[in-house]
Amino acid sequence: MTNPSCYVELHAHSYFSLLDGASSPDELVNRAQTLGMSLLALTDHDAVYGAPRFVQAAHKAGIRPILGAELTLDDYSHLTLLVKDEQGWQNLCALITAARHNAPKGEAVLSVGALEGHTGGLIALSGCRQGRIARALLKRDKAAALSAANDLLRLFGTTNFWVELQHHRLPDDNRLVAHLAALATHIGMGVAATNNVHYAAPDGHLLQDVLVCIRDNTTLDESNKLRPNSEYYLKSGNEIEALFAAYPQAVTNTLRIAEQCTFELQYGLQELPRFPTPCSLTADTYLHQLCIKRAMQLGFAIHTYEQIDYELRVIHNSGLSNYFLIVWDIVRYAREQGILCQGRGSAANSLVAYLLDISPINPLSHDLVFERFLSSERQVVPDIDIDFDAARREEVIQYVYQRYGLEHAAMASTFVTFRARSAIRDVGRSLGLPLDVLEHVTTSLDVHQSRNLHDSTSLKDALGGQIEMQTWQQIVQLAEQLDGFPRHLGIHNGGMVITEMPLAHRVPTEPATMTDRHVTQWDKEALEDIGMVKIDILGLRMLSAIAEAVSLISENSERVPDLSQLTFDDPAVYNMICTADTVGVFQVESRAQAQVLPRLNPRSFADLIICISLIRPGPVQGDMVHPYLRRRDGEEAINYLHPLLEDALKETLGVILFQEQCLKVAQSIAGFTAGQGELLRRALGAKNTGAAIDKFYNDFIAGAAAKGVETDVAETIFNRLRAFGGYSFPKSHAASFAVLVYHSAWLKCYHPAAFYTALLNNQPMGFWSPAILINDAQRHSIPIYPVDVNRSQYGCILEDKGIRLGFNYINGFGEETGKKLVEARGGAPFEHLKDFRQRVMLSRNLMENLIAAGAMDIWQQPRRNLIWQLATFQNDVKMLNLISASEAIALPVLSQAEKASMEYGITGLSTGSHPIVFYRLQLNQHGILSSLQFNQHPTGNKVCVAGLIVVHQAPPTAKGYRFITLEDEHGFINLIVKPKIYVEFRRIIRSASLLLAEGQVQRQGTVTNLIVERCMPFKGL
Amino acid sequence: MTRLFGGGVLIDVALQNGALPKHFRWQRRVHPVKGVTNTWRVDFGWWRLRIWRDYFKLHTTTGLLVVIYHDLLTDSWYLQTIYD
Repeated sequence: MTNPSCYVELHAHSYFSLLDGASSPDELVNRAQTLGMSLLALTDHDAVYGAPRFVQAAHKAGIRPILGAELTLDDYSHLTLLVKDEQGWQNLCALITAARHNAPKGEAVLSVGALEGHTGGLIALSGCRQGRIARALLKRDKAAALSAANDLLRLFGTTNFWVELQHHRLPDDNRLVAHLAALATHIGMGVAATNNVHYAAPDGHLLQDVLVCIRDNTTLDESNKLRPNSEYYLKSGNEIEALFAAYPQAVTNTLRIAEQCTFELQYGLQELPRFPTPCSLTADTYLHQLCIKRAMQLGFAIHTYEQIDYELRVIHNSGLSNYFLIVWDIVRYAREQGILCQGRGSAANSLVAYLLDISPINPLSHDLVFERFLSSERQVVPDIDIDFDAARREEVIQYVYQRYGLEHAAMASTFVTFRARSAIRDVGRSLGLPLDVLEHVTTSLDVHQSRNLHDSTSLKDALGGQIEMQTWQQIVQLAEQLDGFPRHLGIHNGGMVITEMPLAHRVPTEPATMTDRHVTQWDKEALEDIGMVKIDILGLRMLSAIAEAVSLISENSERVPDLSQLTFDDPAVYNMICTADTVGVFQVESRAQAQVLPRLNPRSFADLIICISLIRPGPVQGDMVHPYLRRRDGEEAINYLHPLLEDALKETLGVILFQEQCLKVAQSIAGFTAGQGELLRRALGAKNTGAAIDKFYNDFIAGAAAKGVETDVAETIFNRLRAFGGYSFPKSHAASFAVLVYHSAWLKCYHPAAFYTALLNNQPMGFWSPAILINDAQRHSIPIYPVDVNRSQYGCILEDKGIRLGFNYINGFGEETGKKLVEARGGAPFEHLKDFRQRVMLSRNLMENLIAAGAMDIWQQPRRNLIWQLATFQNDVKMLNLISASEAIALPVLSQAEKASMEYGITGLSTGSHPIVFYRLQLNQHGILSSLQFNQHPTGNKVCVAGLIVVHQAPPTAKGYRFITLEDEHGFINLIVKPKIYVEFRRIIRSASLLLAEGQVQRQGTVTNLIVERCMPFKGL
Repeated sequence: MTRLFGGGVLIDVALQNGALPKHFRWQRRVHPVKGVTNTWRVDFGWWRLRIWRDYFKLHTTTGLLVVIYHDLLTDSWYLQTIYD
């Protein structure tokens, strides 16, 4: 009897065999570890999506990982490939790339001819029942089986090809195994046992069945692709030996094969393309030249050149000089094309990035720390993130593809994963539940992730007693298991990987949905784990809105505003921000920001940086917000645990807010280098921090002692870092964003009509819906004109000091249709409906939408009459004589409320009165306050308010509290709902659009909230 | 004539080495197993009524060619088919 540990599973699928494998790579590794295995292979379908994660998990478990894939050939047969060495990996990546690019997105088909010349370093196993050999034997075609075997033998050679035996206790498995073994003997090849694993443990077969149904869009009852039993789990050596008792060599051979697979995944920076420099300068020299030239133009002081030299040295040592030039070139191209862009994130800590015009922030002016971005101590190479005008980002991406070639550039992928709603919907459908039932349940859910669905109150509410039924129990259990499972591949929002050698030497690529777009099979996290650097070419709609606003201003006035010349010190701009009049302003428009701004009272660029950094989940959770605000208000003394901390923390009044401050504290107190401080900061922010942080502790205490800091003080400071460091925010990122905060605020302050127009044309973006933007514009005395068939363009435009809404706000109106209408109009306005119908080919549905939205009100005919008229026309508009209503018909005229309701239905907004206006008289009679009245009420009073629900937030950090914002014709009313109250009134709150709320006024300075005690539906009035 | 017993007829089975059937008792007669032609396992229908069975096609010294199954959920044995 062979030693059970001889068996090595060489054919296993993780959930990266999308909608087929039912276990994560980690679960497979854990199972292997439990079984005492020391080696394990991962062979997902036509992919190595999970390779980095699998390798990491395996190493952690003390298991040697073997990489491979199961390829789909052009006759839809399967072939299992395992990687022996670096050549094998390159060949596997090339084959997967070829297979993926040879089929529609999401599929893979490899022509057998493509295997020629790409088999070096690979071991082939003949595959599962869908392998060519097994498939032929199942059809009793021995000749075809022999031919297939000889083909593979010729391609891979006698030492690298094995006949794969699988036994899943199917009725014909005994015969198939016997025939495969006989064939192997006949051609002189060895056999290897595998189990075609699709889940780690036996009970995984339930989820695997469901995934197959989701993949095939069918139900469990109707599927003909379900496996007949649950034998496809990771089995122990003993179990496999029992199955192959007649073929013991099939088991021992697995170890012989595994021992040949010694490939280790390559970690570290990819070889970047050599940037073409003038006069054959090295990248380092050219980079130096560019920086010095710019520094001289800016009149930098002498001491800054030391910083430049230092940064360039670190950049050179990290092998990133070419990377910086590549990024500089991309930004340079964008600016030449007039595409707004700016760097964000940790790169703003770099003076070199500033001098190359990548980042808008001079780090020296803002006391930033280069080592937060890059240092000699840091192992992980950072990416540079750049925001581009979202509307023109594609031009930049295509530039990169054209400059470096499709073989050398690809976007990073991302996995769209199952969440609570999609999990319940998909599992429910596979179990045969009707869609409308599932929709009802999923729309009631107020959880995003599915992992603890059984605890979900909203689910219990939606299901009532049904939750105890077997079907729903099954759905909940299976949906929970799907939490975080990848559902399909998407494109990361802008990450591009560029390489000198063909990218497919390192990682396979596959086509994306957009033409001429390729993605790597590794997502952002996997690329980071591997150490490959990418450039994040991100689209930011605020940049699009700013660009458009500037363009509108230039078209309508003689002066073209140059935002780059603004000096961030205009009191009018700060006055507007301090009163929380920030709807539409970048980063500071949210409800949470509006609550804090009047208190924080920002008056400088530095204050804007703090605003952006303070209202974030991290600082909220880390309890930094209130201490900072109290100190700012003078309610709490500013103190430092040690005088050495003052320099690092004085800008935030002694509170640790910025990540860069963690580095400075470590430097000031313990004499860490900035690089070591950054390593400490990263340890603070990582999961499972205990052991990772502890190793810094001793060095910190010792370093502090050397600086004369008492041990107990040093310990307290270290514990503060431990408590707060993980919640701090990157100042560099906030500083980059503060530029856009100021620019957008300046535009709102001085050119509000252009600003709102640009915002409306670049949706979806920001915190507020277009309806709220319009209401805010009206409250700023900007007229909003409805969509008009004779005046509107596709997008919103400036008109008569106001804004004319565009056809883009009519349901169903695409850009092409909108432009077609404008073209048909030409210079001759439409005179009536018949005229319109004759000149514009639109569906009846779209015409009705135009009528309902008021776009044809110019003809002064009631909307109902126009819709009636429309219905009487014949379909063929090319006929000269259109049949119209022979007699006038009297239809009730729409009330203003009905018109507004129609408009909301078609456009999502109304240019007329706010819906609350129609009820104002009634509300006043019942003593229900408007937002104007409420926001002036003294604290402690019990009042009742009403409004449209426009915000409903339940932040995870809020411990069950809900934050709701109502809007009426005058503005906003902020509600705070305690957990118990929410539970009591959940149904009303979730189903209402107009809400009445009663409670106590809470006032702090100019910020007023209602602490809700009771909610009522509007209808009850 | 081949007989197929819908849900199966309950039988008593003795095992050899704890795995394969040695003999079974049906209609008051013991049928010693001469040879097992084939075995397979089914695990299906969990979303309605799970069927989890090991099937054995075997011939007996008493001249029968049958299919019996072991219901793994209830640990009971059933005779399903007698071949002509």
